[in-house]
Amino acid sequence: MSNDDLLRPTLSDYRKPPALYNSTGFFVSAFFGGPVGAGVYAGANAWRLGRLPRDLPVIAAIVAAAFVALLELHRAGALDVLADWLGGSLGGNLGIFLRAFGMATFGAIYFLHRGFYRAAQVSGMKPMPGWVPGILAVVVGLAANVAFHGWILGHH
Amino acid sequence: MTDQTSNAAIYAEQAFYFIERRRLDDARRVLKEGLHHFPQDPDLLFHSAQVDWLADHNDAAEATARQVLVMSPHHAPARQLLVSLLTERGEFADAELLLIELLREYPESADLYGRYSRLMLRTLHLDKAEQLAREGLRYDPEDSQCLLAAALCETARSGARPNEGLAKLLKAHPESLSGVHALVVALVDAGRIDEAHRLAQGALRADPANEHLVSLVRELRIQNHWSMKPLWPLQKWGWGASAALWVIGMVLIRGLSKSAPDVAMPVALGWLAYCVYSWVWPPLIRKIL
Repeated sequence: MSNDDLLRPTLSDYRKPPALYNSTGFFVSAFFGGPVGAGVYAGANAWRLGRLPRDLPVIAAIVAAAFVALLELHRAGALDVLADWLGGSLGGNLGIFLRAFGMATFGAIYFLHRGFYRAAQVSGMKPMPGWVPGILAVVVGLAANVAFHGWILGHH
Repeated sequence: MTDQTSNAAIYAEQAFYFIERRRLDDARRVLKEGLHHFPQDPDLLFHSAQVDWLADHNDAAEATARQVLVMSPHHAPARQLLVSLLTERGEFADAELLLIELLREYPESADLYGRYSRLMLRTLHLDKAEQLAREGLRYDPEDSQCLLAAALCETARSGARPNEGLAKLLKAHPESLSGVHALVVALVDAGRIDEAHRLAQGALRADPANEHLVSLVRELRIQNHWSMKPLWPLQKWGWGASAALWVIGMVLIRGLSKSAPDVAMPVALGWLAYCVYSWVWPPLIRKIL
């Protein structure tokens, strides 16, 4: 980057200065909303960072990968074995598996935005409250989990 | 006119002496007297704005800084103060434009590059923050603002790994508050709360009037309190530890309920109590201490 590029304004391009919703909301959204909950919250963060067009395909791919992994584990019989070990049926334990994959999705997306979280931390910037994206993420995530639950039990 | 200017300069010099030593009441007294004789002097007005800024009277500081700029539009210290005030108010885009303007006039000012880098870091533009700090260090390899910005960028990038930027900052400015700040941030980031607390306490003893240090020591005292020790894994590894806690809890409790049902219930209750404690206690202790 040349000196002229360095001295080109960066912040005038934003309607609002870039910021992040707090990470507690992100974790809670992933915990209760599963992979889709994590994806929705991460989408809100990407939007506030002004990176939605760049990050959305990656976020969508991570969420899709979580569901594909769940399906593949189910096809291979691993979910039934795990459910048996945990006690109870697959239907009864699917919520736990979705939650675990929600947290894995959270981890993967957190890694994607890790530089921003750490920059906010070291510069002492307070994150924004995440109630609105959090509630939206949990509602959409729970709906997706219920749909997945119904579909997997109906078709397999 | 020359006499007037030199007299005003004497008042300004005295005020600066007191400001540097954070003797704000003395500075105010000198400035009041100076401004009585020279009400339009830009330097006296600037110092007056500076005193207001240091005393957290930001609105008054901004009004005075703008008054200086009406009389003397190129007054660089007043423009720099305005950058700080705008940043504090969250008007980052305006602060950036002002900094760029200053950098175009003083293209070799490492200090300005350092300040711009900190602004970029604060608005989460890590790449640009790093490049600006690097550019500033080309002009002055020991500039404290640039070294601080570079150290913070490196902490943001590499976390607990050895931090070359921080080592350079501490070597060049072992006495500076910036170095302490960067070191404390790096230690907290690495989960070394005890060391961070001791370091910040030492800095506070050297500069007891520094409000930033007071709040830093207070926060670290809370994090280092004996009742927070059980939460150490969560402090160190953050959400990763929370996820691991959940997974381990699930696996352990379900496993125990099959292999040793008598132990499963106490373990489940202990696990639940720990989870509740980790949620409830940190906000509570902040209110108590």
